Amino acid sequence: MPARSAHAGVLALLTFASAAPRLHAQSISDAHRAALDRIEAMYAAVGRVSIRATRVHDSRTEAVYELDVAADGTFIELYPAATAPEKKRSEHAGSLRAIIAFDGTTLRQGTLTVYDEYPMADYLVQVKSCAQWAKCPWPVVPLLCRRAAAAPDASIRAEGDASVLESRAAGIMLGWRDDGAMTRLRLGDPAVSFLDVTFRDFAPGASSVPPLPRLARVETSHRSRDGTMLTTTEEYAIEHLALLGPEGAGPVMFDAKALNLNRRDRATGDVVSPDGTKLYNEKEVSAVLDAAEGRGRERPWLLALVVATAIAAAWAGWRRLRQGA
Amino acid sequence: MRSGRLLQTVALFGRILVGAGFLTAAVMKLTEPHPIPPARDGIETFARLLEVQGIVPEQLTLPVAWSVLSSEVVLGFALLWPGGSRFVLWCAAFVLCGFSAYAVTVFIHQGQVQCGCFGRILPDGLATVLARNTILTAALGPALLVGSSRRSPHRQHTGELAEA
Repeated sequence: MPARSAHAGVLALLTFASAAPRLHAQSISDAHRAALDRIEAMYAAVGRVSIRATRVHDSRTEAVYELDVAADGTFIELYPAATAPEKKRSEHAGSLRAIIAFDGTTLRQGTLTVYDEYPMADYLVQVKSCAQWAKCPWPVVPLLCRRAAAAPDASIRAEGDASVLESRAAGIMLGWRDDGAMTRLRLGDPAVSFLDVTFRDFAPGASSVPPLPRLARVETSHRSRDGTMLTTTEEYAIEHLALLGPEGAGPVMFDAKALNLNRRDRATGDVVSPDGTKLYNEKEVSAVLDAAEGRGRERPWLLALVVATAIAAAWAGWRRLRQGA
Repeated sequence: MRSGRLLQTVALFGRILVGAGFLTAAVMKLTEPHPIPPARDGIETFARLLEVQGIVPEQLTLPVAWSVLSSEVVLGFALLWPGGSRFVLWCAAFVLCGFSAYAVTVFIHQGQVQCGCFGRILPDGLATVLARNTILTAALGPALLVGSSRRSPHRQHTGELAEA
């Protein structure tokens, strides 16, 4: 697919940054550190991954799409042509150009020119796509392990037949079995806003790759102001299309400057370049851009129809008034 | 007599304003150019927003989204139809009050509300939603007044008898 290769090209612009923090020596014993190193190595071998996710518990939208996930949680979303009518495919051209990065605390979502930032505590994160790569976090696991283990409150404990690495400070919890199968991933603050993904039905792994699940249950929770926790649950059947290995892995950090992405202030609509220069106001030009890209092409016609109907109604009503007078 | 005519004119334009408002909201939702994945179109995006707002049960969000859209289309055309009934006016006022009550409920529940009434999720706060709905409901007031000032055939008949 051209869009996919275009993405690969853009992502290839990025280089591996040595952002891996050192393990926190005081909080994790040598035995646990060895187990953690083993998990990191197993999932580093997965590299970049491509999956097809099918929503199984709810057929109303028949959500079927493919995800390419890179090592920093950047992912590309593709809607297979076989499951989407022609009209939808053109509508999703916008999605194909999207780059979405989620590091567990901030969601950055945008096109190839502009991105928005959503803190995890913002309930719009639930509306956006942060849950997407959580269905297949395998390339991201080494990064999550390093980040959690580097936190001062990192701990590893046994929970049933699984080991659990948790750090509230880093907002990460990972659970895995002895054979390396990842059973659980939680991102965010469990007291405020978080994603909790449980994996089931594991397929036997290859020699260097851990067992990978066929089912992912994604719970997105957000505490409302009155204290109740709002939770949405989605369950997906996961089909692994390709494991591309370390050589296929993408960037390890979201680097707006390397991608030449400009940040958009959601409140004001100002679009700011990586060096802080205001380029333009998105609200002022979005209508022009949408028209240029052919998005919402039917909208002006339908709105014109509404206006025409209102004028006709006004004229008819006015005539009735005059006749009644 | 002249003030009655003025009231009727204001009533007419109030109906048209609200009717066009309903139809515009429906069109904006239906033709959303930026659906939020995994939603594939505007109505699914609206349903997803309802789901996240946490008031409507998850399995009902899409039927509710379609119901809202349908009611907007039906009420929009009914309000624009010349000589529409008072029942339509009351329905429109009821729906607008319902939308406001829903926005308040979401705000109480979540501490914020993103309405999505006009499709794309805009940073419309509670105040904007309430002000817009109040203005639209108030715009129906003259039409309701005109309707209630008209005598029904039964009342007209009994009035004639009383005069006799």
